[in-house]
Amino acid sequence: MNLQPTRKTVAHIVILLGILAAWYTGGTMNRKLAADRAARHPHLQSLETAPPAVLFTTLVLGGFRGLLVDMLWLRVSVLQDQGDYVEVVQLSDWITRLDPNSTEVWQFHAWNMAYNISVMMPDPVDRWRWIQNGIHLLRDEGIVLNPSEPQLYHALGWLYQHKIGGTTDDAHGYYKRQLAGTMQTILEHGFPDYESLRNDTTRTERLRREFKLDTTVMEAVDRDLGPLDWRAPETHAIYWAWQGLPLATGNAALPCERMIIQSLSELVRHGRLHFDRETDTYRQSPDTNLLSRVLTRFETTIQTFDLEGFHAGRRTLVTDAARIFHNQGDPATARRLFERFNAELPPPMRFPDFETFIKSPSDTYYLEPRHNHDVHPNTP
Amino acid sequence: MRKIAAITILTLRTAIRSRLVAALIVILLIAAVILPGAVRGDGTLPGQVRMAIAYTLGVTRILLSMAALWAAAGAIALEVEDRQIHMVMTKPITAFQVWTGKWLGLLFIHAGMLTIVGILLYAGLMWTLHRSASPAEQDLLREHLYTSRLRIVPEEPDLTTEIQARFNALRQATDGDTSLPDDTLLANLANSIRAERLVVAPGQSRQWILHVPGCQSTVDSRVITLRYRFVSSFRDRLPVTGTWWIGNPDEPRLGSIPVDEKPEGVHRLDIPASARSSSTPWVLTFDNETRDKSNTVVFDFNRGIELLIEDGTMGANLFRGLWIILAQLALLTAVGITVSTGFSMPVTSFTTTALLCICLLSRWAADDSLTVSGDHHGTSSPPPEIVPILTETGEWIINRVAHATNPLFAVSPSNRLADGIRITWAETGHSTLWMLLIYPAILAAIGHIILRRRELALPTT
Repeated sequence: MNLQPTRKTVAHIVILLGILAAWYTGGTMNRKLAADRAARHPHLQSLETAPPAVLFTTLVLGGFRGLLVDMLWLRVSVLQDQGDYVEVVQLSDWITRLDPNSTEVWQFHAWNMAYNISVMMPDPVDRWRWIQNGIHLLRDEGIVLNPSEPQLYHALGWLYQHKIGGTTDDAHGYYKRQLAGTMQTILEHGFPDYESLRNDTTRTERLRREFKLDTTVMEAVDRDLGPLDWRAPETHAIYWAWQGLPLATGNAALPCERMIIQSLSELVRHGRLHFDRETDTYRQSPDTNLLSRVLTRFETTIQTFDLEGFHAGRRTLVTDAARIFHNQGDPATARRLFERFNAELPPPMRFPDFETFIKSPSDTYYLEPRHNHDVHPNTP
Repeated sequence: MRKIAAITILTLRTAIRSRLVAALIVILLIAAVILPGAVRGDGTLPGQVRMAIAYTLGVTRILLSMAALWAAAGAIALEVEDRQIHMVMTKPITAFQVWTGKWLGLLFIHAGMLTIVGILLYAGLMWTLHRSASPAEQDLLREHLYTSRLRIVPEEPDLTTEIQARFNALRQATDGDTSLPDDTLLANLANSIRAERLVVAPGQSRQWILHVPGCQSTVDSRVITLRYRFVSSFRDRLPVTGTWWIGNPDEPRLGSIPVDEKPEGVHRLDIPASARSSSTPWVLTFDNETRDKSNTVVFDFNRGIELLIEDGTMGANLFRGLWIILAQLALLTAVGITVSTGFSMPVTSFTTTALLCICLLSRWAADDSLTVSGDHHGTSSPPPEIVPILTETGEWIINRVAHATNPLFAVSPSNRLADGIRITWAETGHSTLWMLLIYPAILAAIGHIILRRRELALPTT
């Protein structure tokens, strides 16, 4: 195309004006769109405050992000099928960064690493590393990018409560030792002295850096529910559920509330740790000091969520506590708890006396008959 | 030869002055220096090193492939457009010499860039080994990554008789109406029998034959690792307890290694010198313990067991890997230049990119073409005649394209190097033969014909 110089200048000016017009229109529309987006999806993070990597991929890839996520996800599946896991961390990181506001994506990839991949490792050391990879993804990235999503706090708490605190993984003892061992290097006996901790920036910084634990929140948790042993995985589950709780409204708060109650109940059953790194001793025994706190928590929770599951959970905890006190040689407390619990049971489920109760199987879950098809009569 | 050299030098000079090449060098330097530290492995140093090798070479390969196609696409087309080619074609030089000169020029540029990446990558890996790794990690890296290990898979047993017997029984049972064509049915039966042979129930044994090459007198000094992968019938119950036996066909149980494994995952077992057979082939036997001590195990269909034998250095392996990447780039460049002789820009770029996409998609589709065929024959109501014809033609084309492009994708240097697996000289030679000689020669002939017939002095508006 050969244009005369004047025409060429006019053409350049027209093109320039066109670019400026497009720029102005785009900017105006973008502000409107951003405002509309913020109004409709308040939980989504604004792009202006997003980290550079997320900002870059969002702007450069636009609508193709979804396609790229699919391709990366397929690659994760193929690699997993082949038993080649080295690349999965990087791919999961990219996938979550390409779709940073989808909580399901964060939850899936953290779960995938902590559960699916970890069990493929023969060595507990490798398994623990994969669980930590899952924790890091949720705690250090997912929650940072989505600080107002209670599901992510619950998903993170679940890794502590179930994967580390539970017994389904046959390497669970190793995980518990590792967590307790690291926490013990910061909090010597697991129970923080907040007065001295406030003045000790080294330890506070380590808690923040290595566990993303805020001592102010820890203190609030301990004040309300504790004192808790921070070497125990259940305490970490409580911490993260506690963080997610105020962000959830209505029934969305239920998973976090349930996690707090369940973890506290578990701490009553075996929350007292006897841990010695030198001798590799890790024993758990009941922590009955927490019982009154847990029962109070049950009462307040039931006021908000009057669900049979919470009633049954409380009954089961009380019976367990009665047995614990009985085994610890405190029959008076055991009998008092038994009477309280037995009076709450529906008449057909009641025990005739304390002795019959003590001899009955200890793994019964005391649901109302209408909720439980397998309830067995407790009368002899 | 001097004429070709002259064109080559001209191409090199143009490239050196080009901003594209300068930009490419900067990007490659970033890929080789920054990328290895930026990618995340599984949390271990070997994992990080594997990622660094795979991603650096992978990114280099993708960038250079795109650059190769783009530069080659413009090599002749742009010269025709700018009428620079007139200065060349009016001289006593053939179209073939122009094509070859351009190709060699671009090839030298790719070789130079690959050399830079290779040196930086190797230096980075050595720095990691000596500066970042603990003594235990150094040993691990030297044994499994900073090496070149020959990968030996078991010999495929002859299943012909068994397959035929099952096939006959099936035909008899169904009275010949199996609703699948014979070849599909035979392939399915073969897979089914192979899968059955991967199952080892408690109290049972399974044997594999592996041809371990090399002189047996030195075999004991090398690190030999047995890598196997299985799943167990009960994931969370018992571990898998058993014994691996190593021997030869005459004495299959010469040395033994008892194992007590978690029920899933990839397992590695270094075979001590005392347990090795001094003659080949090796016979590997897995004895599964009785039901009270073990579970049924199912070895992986594709990567059930493999023997990794230390067989060279990482440096030589890296050289072979880079050489294969160069051969791949040579082929892409040849395709680009040939297309460039017939079209103008940007049609040339689109055509070469489209050709590459067709090749990649054909490879992907070729894997499933058999299944498509089987499904069509299996439908109870036959589709209209035109559909099978189109399908079969499509499959034929896909399979031919996939077959023709096999040399391009036969070896993945980045994956092999990241896993410390040897790229053999035979594979390197095969890649050189096809991608540096035969295909470029054919494409050069085509380019020569097109360029000779092309009207270069067309009047322009």
